[in-house]
Amino acid sequence: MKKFFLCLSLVLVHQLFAQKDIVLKTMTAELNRSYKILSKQKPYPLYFLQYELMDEHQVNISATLGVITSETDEHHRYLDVDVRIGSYKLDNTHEIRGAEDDDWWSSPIEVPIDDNPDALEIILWSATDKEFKSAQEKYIKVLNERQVKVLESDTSPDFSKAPAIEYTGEIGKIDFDRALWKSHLRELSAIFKDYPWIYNSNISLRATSLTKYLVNTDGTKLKHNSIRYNLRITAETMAEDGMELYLSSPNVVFDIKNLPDMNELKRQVDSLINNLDALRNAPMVEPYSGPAILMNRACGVFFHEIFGHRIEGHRQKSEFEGQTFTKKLNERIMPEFISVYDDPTMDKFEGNDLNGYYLFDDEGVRSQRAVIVENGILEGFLMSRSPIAKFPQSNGHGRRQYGRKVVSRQGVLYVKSSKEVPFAQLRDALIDECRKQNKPYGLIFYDISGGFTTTGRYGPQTFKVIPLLVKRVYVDGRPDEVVRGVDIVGTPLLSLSKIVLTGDDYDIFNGTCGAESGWVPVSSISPSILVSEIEVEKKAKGQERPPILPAPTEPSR
Amino acid sequence: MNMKKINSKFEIRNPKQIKIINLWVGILTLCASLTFAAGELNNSILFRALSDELNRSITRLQLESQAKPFYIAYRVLDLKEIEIRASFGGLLLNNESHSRNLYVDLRVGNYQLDNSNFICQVSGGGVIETDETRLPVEDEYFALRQAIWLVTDGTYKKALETLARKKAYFQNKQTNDTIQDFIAVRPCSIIEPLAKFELDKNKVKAKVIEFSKIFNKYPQILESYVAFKFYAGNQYFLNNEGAKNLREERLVSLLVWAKAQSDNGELIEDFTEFHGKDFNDLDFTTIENAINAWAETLYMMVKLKDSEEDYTGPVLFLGQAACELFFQILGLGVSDVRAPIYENEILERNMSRQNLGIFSNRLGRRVLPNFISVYDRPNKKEWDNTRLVGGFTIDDQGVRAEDVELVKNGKLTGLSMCRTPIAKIKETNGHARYYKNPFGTRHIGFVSNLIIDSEQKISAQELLKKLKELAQDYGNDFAIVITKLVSRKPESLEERYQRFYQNRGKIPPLLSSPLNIYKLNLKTNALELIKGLDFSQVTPRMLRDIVVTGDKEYVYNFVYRDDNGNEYPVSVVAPAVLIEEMDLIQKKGEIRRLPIAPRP
Repeated sequence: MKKFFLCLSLVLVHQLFAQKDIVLKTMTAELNRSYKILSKQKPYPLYFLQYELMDEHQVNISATLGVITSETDEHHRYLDVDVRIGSYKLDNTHEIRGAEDDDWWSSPIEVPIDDNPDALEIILWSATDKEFKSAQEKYIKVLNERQVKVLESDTSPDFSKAPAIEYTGEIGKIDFDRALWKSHLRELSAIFKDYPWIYNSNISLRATSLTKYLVNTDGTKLKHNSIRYNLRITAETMAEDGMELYLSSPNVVFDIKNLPDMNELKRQVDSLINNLDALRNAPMVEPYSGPAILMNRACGVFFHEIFGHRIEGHRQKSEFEGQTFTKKLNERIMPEFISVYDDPTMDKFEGNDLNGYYLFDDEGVRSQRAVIVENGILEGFLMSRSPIAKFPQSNGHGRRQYGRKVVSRQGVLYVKSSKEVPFAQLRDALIDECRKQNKPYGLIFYDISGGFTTTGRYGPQTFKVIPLLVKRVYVDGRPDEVVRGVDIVGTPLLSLSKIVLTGDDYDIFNGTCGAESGWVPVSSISPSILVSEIEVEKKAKGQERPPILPAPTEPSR
Repeated sequence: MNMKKINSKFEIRNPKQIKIINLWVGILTLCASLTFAAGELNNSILFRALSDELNRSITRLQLESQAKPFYIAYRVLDLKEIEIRASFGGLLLNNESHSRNLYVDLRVGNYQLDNSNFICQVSGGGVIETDETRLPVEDEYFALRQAIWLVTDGTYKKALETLARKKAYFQNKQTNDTIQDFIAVRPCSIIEPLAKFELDKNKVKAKVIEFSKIFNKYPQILESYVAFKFYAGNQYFLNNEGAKNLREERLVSLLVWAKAQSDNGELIEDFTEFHGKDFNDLDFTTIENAINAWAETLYMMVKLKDSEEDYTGPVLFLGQAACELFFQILGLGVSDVRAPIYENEILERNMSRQNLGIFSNRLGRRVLPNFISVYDRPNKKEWDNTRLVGGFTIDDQGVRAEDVELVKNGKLTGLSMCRTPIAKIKETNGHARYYKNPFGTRHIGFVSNLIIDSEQKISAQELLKKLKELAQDYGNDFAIVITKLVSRKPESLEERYQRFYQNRGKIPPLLSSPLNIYKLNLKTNALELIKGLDFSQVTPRMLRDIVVTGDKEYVYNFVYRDDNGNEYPVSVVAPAVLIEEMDLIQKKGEIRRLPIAPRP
């Protein structure tokens, strides 16, 4: 009974707070006023309206070679207005075939940071009017296209219903000792002074507080906040042959107290320097096809790029997409010991914060765990409120950066294996696989920066992933050797079928992913995996020479 | 106007004279360094890092079998900036920043033929940057040296590649540019004070919010903002010819923009700006009155119907319109007078065109009526107690800025020059501006404080009388008075890209459209605001059609903004001008349905 009472009082506090919040109140009032008028506009009335306001406060401090190179403190608020005309079945957001997507040009609308209700309501009104007219124009084109073009292969509705949610969360603030952290950044960045062959190095601390306000005509009212601190170490150099080499080490946490201590950060700097040194002196690898291990974090990026982007719901529907997996539902697409989920409700993994965690998506839907692959069988997709065949509802993956239109995106991609072995055994398995294939060596990919994948129908359904640190593991027992100059290439279906075994060494990659709906924070969790065959091709190489004069060292006086 | 001190120099130098200048440069370098040795400036860590890396690079930076650089200049812009913006009484942003950017001008070859004035696409700019880089904002010798070293290296390699391609281009074309690429100058050693960044931020914030609220009372205004910007800092300059100087940088701006919708659905945008060098240059009471009047005019415009007839006849340009007229045709025409060579036509087609340098071949010829003379006076600080913002004592190439006579009694006598000569002018007058384009950077000569001096001045009443007489001659029953032309507001990168793609390859009109147009009724003398007219085919000839000018000068401070993101503060001092004949044709603006829901 006590517990119930406590919960009830929390709800009351939340509701009271929501009523007092001038921003939410103004947004709700203007939403209701606009909806009342625009939903009666003939012949094309509005049936759904949503305002999302993102308040972003960002502090960025950067240091190089012992000095602060820049320090910024910026606060903005941006508004997105989503207008839907027509019906859930067919509305203005429907894909227009054969027309260029002009949504790429949309720019964010600035709104006051000082809670001024008069200014906010004028801006809301003006933006709504503009969006409504543009939506009407688009809807007429959609209706016309229905008449003149063939029916799409997926005739699912354009929008799904979602329950009304009211939520007002704790609003956190950026809180850290700037002087102390500036001194830490100076100290850490000064380590690079002893390495003149590193041309660019940087340690940056970026603190972001993002508060999202969302109201829509479903009755949803949300106000929630996320805080991220990202301490990032980066270094760049060039090999003698002009190849540009880059390594970085991100540390993303929700509370500054959870950042690694100075000893650990110094260790990361040293490790990065050692790896970069090994890389610049490493031999170039010729194109190769054979067994390889993708180390946990690298494997997380690999899955994000080659698989994650292809299971985004909207790609299964678009007539322009390659739809690699659309018709493979309930079919085996990878070995049965692999399952893949996207679970943005996870805020931590083994005690570490996950960058891709969020409470609600940008369509007012609570985040949910989406089962994508269960025991090798494709079971689902990442869904926004744009339904696809057999998936009429959102699973809370509609995301965007301010100023963009929502599409389905990854949050926390979790690759789970039921065939795990300790890493030493995985390495042995790699050598065995090489022997079996008569290969003198296999490869281990330790770090991957990202990649490109063509999902469009008019391009080849291939991917390219950019490894940063690769080692050659010899069958004859020679020590492992750092190598450079390769990119991983392949086709997704074939590559996934080549997984033979995984490690038990799960690790996290915390990053930011850019796609149609802009940049969003993401995480990938994965064990290391052994693949029986991976193909690498020569990396495009810079043609510049390393610097002519030696790096300056001593002050002249 | 006493203009005796202004020298217009354009003479052709022979190579011997250049050698003498070089010797002179050497002597002055020695003198300059002696002067500085005792000065505080030499203790500046930034200057020390720049100087040490410059000395090392000029003597030792050399790729085997390639030439060393013969010229290296470092320019650092160290600026603190603040921006406060508000809309309809709500604060949009309130941000401060500090940046320190290094710009490298490195040349290989020689003064006759170097890597400049040639636009091509070369590789580079990855790990090792070229042309410019960010420097640490904290003074630490080693970190500064490291950044300067790398960008110098990248710029040197780019310069070698560019020069090789330029030579190949000339080889293929069987032609050569016989005009020197670069000219020697006396090193400048002016040291201006270190700029102070002083501002009552709370007062400014309150004023910006208050001004932005003015627009709340006009329901026809759909979008608007008021922005305050202030930057203060210094330009540090150093080159291997011995120049070492420090320029104070300051600009304070209040920018106002609004978009309104007329009763017939037409969207009307207007932008106005107020500038000074110091915070105290902005008189908030005057500005408030000006914004109110400006908003009122915009409100009146939305109530107007479009003009139903074209117009041919005399036009009187007043205030901002007269200043923009002189700047857009003459000011831009005497700027950037040496067009660069493009390696291929595709590059040239993809550059945005800006009407720069159209007077470069008209030296000695008539460009204005004989009663008008024009000067570009960067050293002029104010005019009739109004601050001018276009000036500077040292230009972006570290050269002492000289006042220059551009037009004497209607004939073109000078141009705004940088260190890139043309056939008839082989000297700079210190008007260089750093200019970025999508394929690289260069320096261009650009006007600073453009002063129009007329000997045929009449009072406002006489001007109107003359306008009416001329209009009657044309058989019109009204005459046209224009008080404002469209000016360009600051644009985001995205907005500039959009504009760039829309306008690629198109030649922009010589004069922007009129915004505030008045119809003077010849019978009743009533002035009536009208809209829906635009200029038809303006040519430089228009300047020669000036019949007479007013007797009062208008001071116009603004920022010139181009498609590539270059921004230069400019001042124009000009009287009202009466043009004998112009054609104005009907123009329709963008029409959109009126707002559906009433404004809250």
